[in-house]
Amino acid sequence: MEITLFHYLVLAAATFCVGMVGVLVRRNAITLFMCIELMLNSVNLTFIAFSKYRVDFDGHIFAFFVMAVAAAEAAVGLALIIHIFRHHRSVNVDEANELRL
Amino acid sequence: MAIWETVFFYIFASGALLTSLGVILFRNPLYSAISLIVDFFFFAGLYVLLSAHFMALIQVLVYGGAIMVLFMFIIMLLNLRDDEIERPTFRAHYAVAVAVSLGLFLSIWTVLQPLYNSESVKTARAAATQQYEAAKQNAGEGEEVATPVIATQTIVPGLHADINEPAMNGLYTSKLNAIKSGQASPADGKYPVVNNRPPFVVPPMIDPAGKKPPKFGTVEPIAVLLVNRFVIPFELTAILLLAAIIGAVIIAKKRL
Amino acid sequence: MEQIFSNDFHYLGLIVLFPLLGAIINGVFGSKLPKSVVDIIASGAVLLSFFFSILSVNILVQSPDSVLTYTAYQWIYTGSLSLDIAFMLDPLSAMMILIITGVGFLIHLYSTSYMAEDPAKWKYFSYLNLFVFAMLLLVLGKNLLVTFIGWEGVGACSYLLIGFWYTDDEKAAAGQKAFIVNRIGDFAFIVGILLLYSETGTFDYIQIHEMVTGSAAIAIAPVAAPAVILIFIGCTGKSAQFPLYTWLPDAMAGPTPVSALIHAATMVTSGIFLLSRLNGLVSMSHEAMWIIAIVGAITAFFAATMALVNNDIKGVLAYSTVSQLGYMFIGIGVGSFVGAVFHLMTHAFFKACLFLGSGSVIHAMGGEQDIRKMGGLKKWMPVTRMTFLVACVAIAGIPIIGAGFFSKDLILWGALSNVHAAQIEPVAAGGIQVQYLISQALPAITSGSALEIATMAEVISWVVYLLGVVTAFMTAFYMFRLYFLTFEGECRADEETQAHLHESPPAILIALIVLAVLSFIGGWTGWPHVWAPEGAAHYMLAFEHWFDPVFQTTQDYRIANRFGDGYAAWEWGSIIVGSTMAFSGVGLAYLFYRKRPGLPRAVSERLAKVHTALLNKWWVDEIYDFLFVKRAIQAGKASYDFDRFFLDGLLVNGAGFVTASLGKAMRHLQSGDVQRYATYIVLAIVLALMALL
Repeated sequence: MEITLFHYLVLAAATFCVGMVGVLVRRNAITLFMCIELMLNSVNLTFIAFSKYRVDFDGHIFAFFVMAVAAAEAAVGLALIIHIFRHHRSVNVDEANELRL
Repeated sequence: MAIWETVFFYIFASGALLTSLGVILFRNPLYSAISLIVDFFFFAGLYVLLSAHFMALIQVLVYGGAIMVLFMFIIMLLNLRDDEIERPTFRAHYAVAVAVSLGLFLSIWTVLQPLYNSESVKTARAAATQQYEAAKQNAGEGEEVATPVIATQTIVPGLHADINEPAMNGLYTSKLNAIKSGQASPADGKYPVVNNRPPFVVPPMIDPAGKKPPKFGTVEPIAVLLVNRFVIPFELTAILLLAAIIGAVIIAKKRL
Repeated sequence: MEQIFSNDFHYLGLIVLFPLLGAIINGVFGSKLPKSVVDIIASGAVLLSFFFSILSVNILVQSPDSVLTYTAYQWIYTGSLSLDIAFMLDPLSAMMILIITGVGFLIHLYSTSYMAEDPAKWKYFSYLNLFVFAMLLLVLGKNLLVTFIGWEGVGACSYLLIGFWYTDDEKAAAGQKAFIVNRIGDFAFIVGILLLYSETGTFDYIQIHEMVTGSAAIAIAPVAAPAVILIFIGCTGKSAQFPLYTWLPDAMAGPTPVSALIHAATMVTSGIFLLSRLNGLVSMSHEAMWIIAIVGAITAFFAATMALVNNDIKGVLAYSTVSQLGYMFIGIGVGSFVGAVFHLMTHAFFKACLFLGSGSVIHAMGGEQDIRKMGGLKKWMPVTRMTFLVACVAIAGIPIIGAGFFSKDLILWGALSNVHAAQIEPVAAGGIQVQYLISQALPAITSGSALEIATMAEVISWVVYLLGVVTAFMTAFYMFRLYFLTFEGECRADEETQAHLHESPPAILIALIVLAVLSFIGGWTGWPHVWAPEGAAHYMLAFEHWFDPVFQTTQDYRIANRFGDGYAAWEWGSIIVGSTMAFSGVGLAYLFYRKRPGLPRAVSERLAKVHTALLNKWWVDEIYDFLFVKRAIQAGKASYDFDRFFLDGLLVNGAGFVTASLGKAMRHLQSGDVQRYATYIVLAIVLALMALL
């Protein structure tokens, strides 16, 4: 029952994979973004876990920067969603399929 | 003592897993968002378990506060009609998506497997507990018994599989002492030693007088690192955020 | 060499910083600023840099046998590779930064007046400051990579400035030619650096120097020759040596101050600087040194012949620059690094002066560059003429009053007394125990061929010496031909031009006068050894003593040479031969262009074939055109046909048919659904992961 580095890493991997499924499956752009935040969080968890088990602050710093980038990404991403919504009257990524030739 | 760590870990871990599943399973984005907020709080709890107090705080403030408010705000703003909510339709690549995610998880599992030896962790813990009990019996009434130090190595040098607070404090203090006495540099192993003067000073994790609680994961050492070694990335982050703000305004505005 | 002040010598960072700031300010805001402010920012940046250079060098002088270093930024750390943006100041880079910032400032000052009319002046000054910045990086770099950044930076600035008047197709093409030819050299250069790194595991000059002079030298010996030769190929590109010199004469398309700064005083000498910086490594390989000496001698000779008949005032100076650079490479090739660096310094003074003088003349002549249409200009431009004359005396090598005499003599004496050649034998016989020579001669000793190598080295030294002496004669001749045709005699310009002739404004004259003074006295820091009495040697040979910590050879060089104890007579001989050549060159020019103006035509008719060959620059451009450019175009055409008939006809259309049919079947995969694409990507990643595990 001892909690070790291994446990944290497995938990992080699990939530990462859950987030990934969400990104691949969900069609609502907002939910999609939330799934990305979830994946970023799992990565943060690994960073901080490594930080503790190495007795070192580098992981904290990494996680800090990941959060800053996540904030920036959320701002721009949500702005894009608003833009798409204005265009299609919908936030469904199926509607935004101009990538198809 | 040890049992509480385990208990809380499993509470937070199961909570985090369940709520993250909730994020992808709720059909209404509002429920997903609420689920995600709860998830972030569980993550914050995990950070506290990892002695990352500062990061736990930031997690609640930035993620739980700022980012999720933004999400909720957008959801409310767009005011999605009921027919906007996804119909549960099945597509062929959903199965592929779930399968590859499982595959990824298994790959990570196989990578992690040789990282540590659960037997050595168990024996180390058992020995420590035994020692602790023995010391307790020998000690007289009202006497403080020092918690035994646990630090089990993995096959990766410098990386522990299992470590407890006294061990962390001890390791960190010895590192600092080595730096103070000039035998090591904060740059060791990371930056070339160009001279003996440390490029920056990391404050002690524990108060020498033993008055204050341990400092690992608190604001001070992280702040020192951010404004010394990582000052340029730190400043660049400011520029990035500025760019993101301007970008968001320009994208979201109907016309400038 | 020991490192003092660890990494705290911040002045080095400031020296580099000011020109960069100047370049950024002028580049970003220059178009909005008034011209006078642009002038002040650009010149001020270089002046500040010069000021801090003097301060730093002063500190260096007070702490002998030391190196000042400064780590500005820790750049890359992964595994065994560690790279800093770090600077070092030793006697060699001290001299270089003084030249770059000092001469650079004078040329900025000159430019404020020379480019006064140009609408894109701010751009010009931005480029010029950027060049100074890159050049300072190059010479101050503590490791090869920083030098390489500077190396590429000066190349880029050179391209920008040659093609500064880019609306003129010819000038833009000249810029491209310079860039492409330099790229060829740079490729070899970086391969050389990496080869060196793979063997030594470091880019750091100090570490490399310690390795090649210590016990690790034997391990490095096998790669010394290829690495030095590859780096030397890089130097032939940047320093315009045979066969990659062709870009330099074309580079005269740029503004004249640029020619003075980049294509005469600083950038083109970076090859010399680099090889001097790596002197320990260079002296490990006698083969590489022979190649360097021979290439230098060939370049010096041929470029001088081309300068003999050129009628473009800047063209003569350009070929003369190539020729003088050849001299410096001779110096390196025969192991007289100090001679090479000495000539680098004096050349920077007098060639900058000559170029700026020619710029002054061109300015006055309203853009005319043909010396056949000049003449008698001393009447209108007394100051320009005097400074030009002083510089001509310097480059021609007139004893004592010409700086070029001292440096050229040092190089030629180096070739004649080639220590490098002489010491292989004693080392083989267990004689002189010089560290670098032991490592250098080890392969020779083990293979028992030391004597043959020594003999070969002597033969090469003699060939190089004789070519150098002939070149000295030609140098004196063509420089005074240029001088007589431009400033003496009757003016051959048309009436209108004559009416506009005038002396240049003060900013130009100040730069000219300072440089002329420097070219007059610049050589007095290194007198011939036989002229230096015992007591005064320290002052009269100040230049050599200054470089003692850098060039190991120097010390041995003074002690022993091919002629042993009786070297005095030989050195006297060398001095007399050199002076005779200089005087007879000047005399011949006087005879041809002052006394008997009909003679040049008669001679050229008698030697018609040679004259045509020289006029056409030995057809080198044409040969390159035939050998490389035409072949490249032919190859292009052949591949075009191949492409059209085989690839396009059979493969592409055939494949197109197959693909179209396949595509019809598989079009459903491409749905425009991003998530589906993402799924495929993740699938691929997971499959790859599983394959790896």
